[in-house]
Amino acid sequence: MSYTIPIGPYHPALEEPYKLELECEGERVRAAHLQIGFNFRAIELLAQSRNVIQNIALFERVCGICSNVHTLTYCLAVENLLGIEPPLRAQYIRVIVAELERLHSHILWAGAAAHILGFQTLFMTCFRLREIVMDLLESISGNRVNYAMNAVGGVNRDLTDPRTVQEGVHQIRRAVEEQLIPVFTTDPTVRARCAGVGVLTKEEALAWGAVGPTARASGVAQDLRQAQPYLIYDRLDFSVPVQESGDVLARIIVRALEMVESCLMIEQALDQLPSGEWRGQLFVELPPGEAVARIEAPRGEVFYYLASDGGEKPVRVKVRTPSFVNMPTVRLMLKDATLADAPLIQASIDPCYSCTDR
Amino acid sequence: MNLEELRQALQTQSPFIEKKDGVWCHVPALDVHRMAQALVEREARLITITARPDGEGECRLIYHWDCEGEMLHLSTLTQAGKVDSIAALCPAADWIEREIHDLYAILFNGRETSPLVLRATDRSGLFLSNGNLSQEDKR
Repeated sequence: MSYTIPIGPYHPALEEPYKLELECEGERVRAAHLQIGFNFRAIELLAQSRNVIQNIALFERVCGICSNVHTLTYCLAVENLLGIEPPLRAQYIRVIVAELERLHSHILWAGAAAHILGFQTLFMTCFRLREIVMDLLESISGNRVNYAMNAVGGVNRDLTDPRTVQEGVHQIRRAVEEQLIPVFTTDPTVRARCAGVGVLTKEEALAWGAVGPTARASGVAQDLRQAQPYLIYDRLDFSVPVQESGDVLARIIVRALEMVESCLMIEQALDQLPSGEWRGQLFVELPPGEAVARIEAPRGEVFYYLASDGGEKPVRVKVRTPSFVNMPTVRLMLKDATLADAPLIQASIDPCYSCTDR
Repeated sequence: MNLEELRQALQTQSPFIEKKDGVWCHVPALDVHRMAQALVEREARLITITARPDGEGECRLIYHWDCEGEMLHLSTLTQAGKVDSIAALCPAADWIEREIHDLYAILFNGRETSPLVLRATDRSGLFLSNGNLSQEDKR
């Protein structure tokens, strides 16, 4: 018997709105239709009515989890248009905060995935770890969600206590290596729910332009930190985890291994942290022209386009978030899946509707 | 990326300008089908498309591609508010074209562009095309 199940706009797994319509035959999903836009705030239009500095605060609010990557990418686009580079110490601080934010995002997602799997002790383990990351970010920036760290040409705060960050990151790495990775990769319940479920092939990932862990779990070995290094990533020794199976388990493994790599990157960056200037500019005059910037955010590539006519406000800012390109692939992952797996499959790309809708 | 080979594939004499943030090229009457075919064959990934009003009633569309890690930005102009869709050749363009349609009322020839992003209204071009705003909308 064929029937259609409407789900949403309250999300079946996460606390964000979007709508899913599943065409089913018995327990099998034959087709899925996604509707987004419930969070649309016209941020790109708002950016045209604010000056360059005011826009940093605006773009910090594109996303509540990866707020830092948006201000970072925006500042990089402004710096590309101005033809300037931030001081070396500021670049290191930017990388440390960006990798802490990746840890925060991946651990939060791992906790949410554990919750969907019905594995509550694992959920609590993840959220306890997340607290450590948030405490570290608070110790650096004074904030736990919107860090307000990035400025054009530098950062707003120095990193004054690297030892505390080093100790906290070491603690997180041990917990990820000794608890999260073994449980997520060997527990029979996790494997039963995730292995072979919600497959996205490499060809599909390439055709649909998937990015980040979603693409890397399908065998697409691209990570901008390595493929086109920005800031000081070319000074760090790290590997890019890639899996070939393209299922939910592969997406879990990629993110789990990326957590370890992020810890190692932060430890190296703290060891190498140079002294010197770090402050950004308080006043910026944009020349006429256009520029772009992109970075590897926790969910994948974030892209900003910036155009100026020489006035104090940009004439156009385009924001392309990773969830915007990853979400259409959920339709492919859901095809012929069982209905009970649908919440886990669509949550496995770590979707962010706030980012997607902007 | 072999730019000369690509220029021949696109059949254009417009210059490729290399900058820190990639290679830029503007072709006023770009055959976007030919562009998509040439770049998909070269395993390039469509990052996104930026629409930007040119002030004379048309929009400049910039197609941002990732070619083996390098960025390529090819731009063209809409003709009477229309441009060919590349979604059939490049599925990644599907939602991107729909969003541009919703925000700027640009028509993409050869595809359905049912409203996707703007849930508050059935009219496309509401938010970023100020000219489409009614007094009620502006309030």
